[in-house]
Amino acid sequence: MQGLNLLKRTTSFEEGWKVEIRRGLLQYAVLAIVKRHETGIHGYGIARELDERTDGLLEVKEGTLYPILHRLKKERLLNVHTEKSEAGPSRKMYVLTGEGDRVYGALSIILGSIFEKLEALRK
Amino acid sequence: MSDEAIQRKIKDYLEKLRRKMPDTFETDDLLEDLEAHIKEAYQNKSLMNPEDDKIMLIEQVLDDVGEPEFIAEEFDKATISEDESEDKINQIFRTTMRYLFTGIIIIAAAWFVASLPDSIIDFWTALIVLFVFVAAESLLRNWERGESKRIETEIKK
Repeated sequence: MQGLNLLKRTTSFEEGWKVEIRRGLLQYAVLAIVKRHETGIHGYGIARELDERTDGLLEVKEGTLYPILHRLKKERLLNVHTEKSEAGPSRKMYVLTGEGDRVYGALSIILGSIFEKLEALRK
Repeated sequence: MSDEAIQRKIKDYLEKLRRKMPDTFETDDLLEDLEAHIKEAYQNKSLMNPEDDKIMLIEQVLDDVGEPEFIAEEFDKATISEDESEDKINQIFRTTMRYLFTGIIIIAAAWFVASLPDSIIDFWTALIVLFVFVAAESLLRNWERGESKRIETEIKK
Protein backbone atom coordinates (compact mmCIF):
# COMPACT_ATOMS: atom_id res chain seq x y z
CA MET A 1 0.00 0.00 0.00
CA GLN A 2 2.81 2.36 0.96
CA GLY A 3 4.69 1.39 -2.22
CA LEU A 4 1.58 2.11 -4.29
CA ASN A 5 1.19 5.52 -2.66
CA LEU A 6 4.84 6.30 -3.32
CA LEU A 7 4.48 5.28 -6.98
CA LYS A 8 1.31 7.37 -7.31
CA ARG A 9 3.00 10.41 -5.76
CA THR A 10 6.11 10.01 -7.93
CA THR A 11 4.03 9.68 -11.10
CA SER A 12 1.99 12.77 -10.32
CA PHE A 13 5.18 14.65 -9.50
CA GLU A 14 6.62 13.68 -12.89
CA GLU A 15 3.40 14.64 -14.64
CA GLY A 16 3.31 18.03 -12.95
CA TRP A 17 6.95 18.64 -13.79
CA LYS A 18 6.33 17.67 -17.42
CA VAL A 19 3.41 20.11 -17.68
CA GLU A 20 5.54 22.92 -16.23
CA ILE A 21 8.49 22.34 -18.52
CA ARG A 22 6.39 21.66 -21.61
CA ARG A 23 4.82 25.11 -21.91
CA GLY A 24 8.15 26.91 -22.15
CA LEU A 25 9.62 24.33 -24.51
CA LEU A 26 6.54 24.47 -26.69
CA GLN A 27 6.97 28.19 -27.29
CA TYR A 28 10.56 27.53 -28.33
CA ALA A 29 9.54 24.60 -30.56
CA VAL A 30 6.90 26.72 -32.31
CA LEU A 31 9.47 29.46 -33.01
CA ALA A 32 11.89 26.81 -34.33
CA ILE A 33 9.29 25.37 -36.71
CA VAL A 34 8.13 28.78 -37.98
CA LYS A 35 11.75 29.77 -38.56
CA ARG A 36 12.16 26.80 -40.92
CA HIS A 37 9.38 28.16 -43.13
CA GLU A 38 10.43 31.52 -44.48
CA THR A 39 7.24 31.96 -46.51
CA GLY A 40 5.09 31.06 -43.51
CA ILE A 41 3.33 28.04 -42.06
CA HIS A 42 -0.25 27.60 -40.84
CA GLY A 43 -1.34 26.27 -37.43
CA TYR A 44 -2.22 22.81 -38.72
CA GLY A 45 1.20 22.56 -40.39
CA ILE A 46 2.92 23.52 -37.13
CA ALA A 47 0.97 20.84 -35.25
CA ARG A 48 1.88 18.18 -37.87
CA GLU A 49 5.53 19.12 -37.94
CA LEU A 50 5.74 19.28 -34.15
CA ASP A 51 4.34 15.79 -33.87
CA GLU A 52 6.47 14.32 -36.67
CA ARG A 53 9.76 15.96 -35.81
CA THR A 54 9.58 15.29 -32.06
CA ASP A 55 7.89 11.87 -32.31
CA GLY A 56 5.10 13.24 -30.13
CA LEU A 57 7.56 13.82 -27.30
CA LEU A 58 5.80 16.97 -26.08
CA GLU A 59 2.37 15.24 -26.14
CA VAL A 60 0.67 18.38 -27.37
CA LYS A 61 -3.06 18.62 -27.84
CA GLU A 62 -3.25 20.51 -31.13
CA GLY A 63 -5.73 23.07 -29.83
CA THR A 64 -3.30 24.27 -27.17
CA LEU A 65 -0.97 25.53 -29.90
CA TYR A 66 -3.31 28.40 -30.70
CA PRO A 67 -3.11 30.16 -27.33
CA ILE A 68 0.69 29.93 -27.73
CA LEU A 69 0.58 31.32 -31.28
CA HIS A 70 -1.68 34.09 -30.02
CA ARG A 71 0.80 34.91 -27.24
CA LEU A 72 3.81 34.92 -29.60
CA LYS A 73 1.87 37.14 -32.01
CA LYS A 74 1.02 39.55 -29.22
CA GLU A 75 4.66 39.63 -28.16
CA ARG A 76 5.45 40.59 -31.80
CA LEU A 77 7.61 37.50 -32.30
CA LEU A 78 5.32 36.25 -35.08
CA ASN A 79 3.56 37.99 -37.93
CA VAL A 80 0.43 36.72 -39.65
CA HIS A 81 -0.88 36.84 -43.19
CA THR A 82 -3.92 35.03 -44.54
CA GLU A 83 -4.04 32.49 -47.32
CA LYS A 84 -6.97 30.81 -49.04
CA SER A 85 -7.50 27.24 -47.84
CA GLU A 86 -8.95 24.34 -49.85
CA ALA A 87 -10.62 23.00 -46.70
CA GLY A 88 -12.83 26.04 -46.04
CA PRO A 89 -12.16 29.40 -44.39
CA SER A 90 -8.93 31.23 -45.19
CA ARG A 91 -6.13 30.25 -42.87
CA LYS A 92 -3.44 32.22 -41.13
CA MET A 93 0.17 31.82 -42.14
CA TYR A 94 2.69 32.53 -39.40
CA VAL A 95 6.13 34.00 -40.11
CA LEU A 96 8.92 34.97 -37.77
CA THR A 97 9.47 38.70 -37.23
CA GLY A 98 12.95 40.21 -36.89
CA GLU A 99 12.42 40.31 -33.12
CA GLY A 100 11.18 36.69 -33.22
CA ASP A 101 14.37 35.68 -35.00
CA ARG A 102 16.48 37.46 -32.40
CA VAL A 103 14.54 35.90 -29.50
CA TYR A 104 14.79 32.45 -31.08
CA GLY A 105 18.58 32.85 -31.37
CA ALA A 106 18.83 34.01 -27.76
CA LEU A 107 16.65 31.14 -26.51
CA SER A 108 18.75 28.63 -28.47
CA ILE A 109 21.86 29.85 -26.68
CA ILE A 110 20.13 29.75 -23.28
CA LEU A 111 18.77 26.23 -23.91
CA GLY A 112 22.13 24.98 -25.17
CA SER A 113 23.78 26.34 -22.08
CA ILE A 114 21.14 24.81 -19.76
CA PHE A 115 21.50 21.34 -21.31
CA GLU A 116 25.28 21.58 -21.21
CA LYS A 117 25.24 22.47 -17.52
CA LEU A 118 22.68 19.77 -16.72
CA GLU A 119 24.79 17.21 -18.57
CA ALA A 120 27.79 18.27 -16.50
CA LEU A 121 25.71 17.82 -13.33
CA ARG A 122 24.84 14.25 -14.30
CA LYS A 123 28.49 13.20 -14.70
CA MET B 1 -23.27 10.00 -42.55
CA SER B 2 -23.89 13.40 -44.13
CA ASP B 3 -21.59 16.40 -44.21
CA GLU B 4 -24.27 18.16 -42.23
CA ALA B 5 -23.65 15.86 -39.25
CA ILE B 6 -19.92 16.57 -39.46
CA GLN B 7 -20.53 20.32 -39.60
CA ARG B 8 -22.82 20.04 -36.59
CA LYS B 9 -20.13 18.20 -34.61
CA ILE B 10 -17.60 20.95 -35.42
CA LYS B 11 -20.12 23.66 -34.56
CA ASP B 12 -21.04 22.01 -31.24
CA TYR B 13 -17.38 21.71 -30.31
CA LEU B 14 -16.65 25.36 -31.11
CA GLU B 15 -19.80 26.46 -29.25
CA LYS B 16 -18.73 24.49 -26.20
CA LEU B 17 -15.33 26.15 -26.33
CA ARG B 18 -16.85 29.62 -26.83
CA ARG B 19 -18.91 29.21 -23.65
CA LYS B 20 -15.71 28.60 -21.68
CA MET B 21 -13.85 31.58 -23.13
CA PRO B 22 -14.13 35.32 -22.42
CA ASP B 23 -16.35 37.24 -24.81
CA THR B 24 -13.58 39.09 -26.66
CA PHE B 25 -12.24 39.68 -30.14
CA GLU B 26 -9.32 37.38 -29.25
CA THR B 27 -11.74 34.51 -28.62
CA ASP B 28 -13.30 35.00 -32.09
CA ASP B 29 -9.80 34.93 -33.53
CA LEU B 30 -8.91 31.71 -31.72
CA LEU B 31 -12.17 30.01 -32.73
CA GLU B 32 -11.62 30.98 -36.36
CA ASP B 33 -8.12 29.46 -36.24
CA LEU B 34 -9.41 26.29 -34.63
CA GLU B 35 -12.21 25.93 -37.18
CA ALA B 36 -9.70 26.13 -40.03
CA HIS B 37 -7.48 23.64 -38.20
CA ILE B 38 -10.29 21.13 -37.57
CA LYS B 39 -11.54 21.29 -41.17
CA GLU B 40 -8.09 20.81 -42.59
CA ALA B 41 -7.28 17.94 -40.23
CA TYR B 42 -10.60 16.28 -41.06
CA GLN B 43 -10.06 16.66 -44.81
CA ASN B 44 -6.59 15.09 -44.51
CA LYS B 45 -7.87 12.21 -42.41
CA SER B 46 -10.71 11.56 -44.87
CA LEU B 47 -8.28 11.49 -47.80
CA MET B 48 -5.97 9.08 -46.01
CA ASN B 49 -8.78 6.83 -44.73
CA PRO B 50 -11.58 7.04 -47.33
CA GLU B 51 -13.21 3.83 -46.09
CA ASP B 52 -13.47 4.87 -42.44
CA ASP B 53 -16.61 6.13 -40.76
CA LYS B 54 -16.75 9.93 -41.11
CA ILE B 55 -18.12 10.50 -37.62
CA MET B 56 -15.32 8.45 -36.14
CA LEU B 57 -12.80 10.51 -38.11
CA ILE B 58 -14.14 13.86 -36.92
CA GLU B 59 -14.20 12.53 -33.37
CA GLN B 60 -10.54 11.57 -33.72
CA VAL B 61 -9.77 15.07 -35.03
CA LEU B 62 -11.58 16.72 -32.12
CA ASP B 63 -9.80 14.42 -29.69
CA ASP B 64 -6.42 15.44 -31.19
CA VAL B 65 -7.42 19.09 -30.85
CA GLY B 66 -8.19 18.60 -27.15
CA GLU B 67 -11.01 19.11 -24.68
CA PRO B 68 -12.54 22.63 -24.81
CA GLU B 69 -11.90 22.97 -21.06
CA PHE B 70 -8.20 22.26 -21.57
CA ILE B 71 -7.83 24.76 -24.42
CA ALA B 72 -9.70 27.45 -22.46
CA GLU B 73 -7.37 26.81 -19.52
CA GLU B 74 -4.27 27.13 -21.72
CA PHE B 75 -5.64 30.35 -23.23
CA ASP B 76 -6.27 31.65 -19.74
CA LYS B 77 -2.71 30.86 -18.68
CA ALA B 78 -1.23 32.53 -21.77
CA THR B 79 -3.32 35.63 -21.07
CA ILE B 80 -2.42 35.64 -17.38
CA SER B 81 1.31 35.54 -18.25
CA GLU B 82 0.86 38.58 -20.51
CA ASP B 83 -1.10 40.42 -17.84
CA GLU B 84 1.53 39.57 -15.24
CA SER B 85 4.34 41.18 -17.25
CA GLU B 86 2.20 44.31 -17.81
CA ASP B 87 1.24 44.29 -14.14
CA LYS B 88 4.87 44.18 -13.06
CA ILE B 89 5.64 47.47 -14.88
CA ASN B 90 2.51 49.06 -13.39
CA GLN B 91 3.43 47.74 -9.96
CA ILE B 92 6.94 49.28 -10.12
CA PHE B 93 5.41 52.62 -11.13
CA ARG B 94 2.74 52.46 -8.41
CA THR B 95 5.28 51.53 -5.71
CA THR B 96 7.64 54.37 -6.73
CA MET B 97 4.78 56.87 -6.68
CA ARG B 98 3.55 55.58 -3.32
CA TYR B 99 6.99 55.95 -1.68
CA LEU B 100 7.44 59.40 -3.20
CA PHE B 101 4.03 60.54 -1.99
CA THR B 102 4.59 59.07 1.50
CA GLY B 103 7.99 60.80 1.72
CA ILE B 104 6.46 64.18 0.85
CA ILE B 105 3.68 63.69 3.44
CA ILE B 106 6.22 62.71 6.17
CA ILE B 107 8.39 65.78 5.44
CA ALA B 108 5.35 68.10 5.38
CA ALA B 109 3.97 66.64 8.64
CA ALA B 110 7.38 66.88 10.38
CA TRP B 111 7.75 70.49 9.24
CA PHE B 112 4.22 71.32 10.45
CA VAL B 113 4.76 69.74 13.89
CA ALA B 114 8.16 71.40 14.30
CA SER B 115 6.88 74.85 13.34
CA LEU B 116 3.93 74.90 15.78
CA PRO B 117 4.27 77.66 18.39
CA ASP B 118 5.79 76.28 21.62
CA SER B 119 6.62 72.98 19.86
CA ILE B 120 8.88 70.79 22.00
CA ILE B 121 9.93 68.64 19.07
CA ASP B 122 12.36 69.69 16.35
CA PHE B 123 12.02 68.91 12.62
CA TRP B 124 14.51 65.98 12.52
CA THR B 125 13.06 64.19 15.58
CA ALA B 126 9.53 64.55 14.13
CA LEU B 127 10.79 63.23 10.77
CA ILE B 128 12.37 60.13 12.37
CA VAL B 129 9.32 59.39 14.58
CA LEU B 130 6.91 59.71 11.64
CA PHE B 131 9.17 57.60 9.45
CA VAL B 132 9.25 54.80 12.09
CA PHE B 133 5.42 54.88 12.34
CA VAL B 134 4.97 54.71 8.56
CA ALA B 135 7.53 51.89 8.22
CA ALA B 136 5.83 49.88 11.00
CA GLU B 137 2.40 50.38 9.41
CA SER B 138 3.75 49.33 6.00
CA LEU B 139 5.37 46.16 7.44
CA LEU B 140 2.14 45.24 9.22
CA ARG B 141 0.10 45.74 6.01
CA ASN B 142 2.53 43.61 3.96
CA TRP B 143 2.41 40.86 6.56
CA GLU B 144 -1.42 40.90 6.51
CA ARG B 145 -1.40 40.78 2.69
CA GLY B 146 1.01 37.81 2.75
CA GLU B 147 -1.21 36.01 5.25
CA SER B 148 -4.38 36.47 3.17
CA LYS B 149 -2.54 35.26 0.05
CA ARG B 150 -1.38 32.18 1.94
CA ILE B 151 -4.92 31.47 3.15
CA GLU B 152 -6.29 31.97 -0.41
CA THR B 153 -3.74 29.49 -1.79
CA GLU B 154 -4.60 26.93 0.88
CA ILE B 155 -8.32 27.28 0.14
CA LYS B 156 -7.64 26.78 -3.62
CA LYS B 157 -5.61 23.64 -2.87
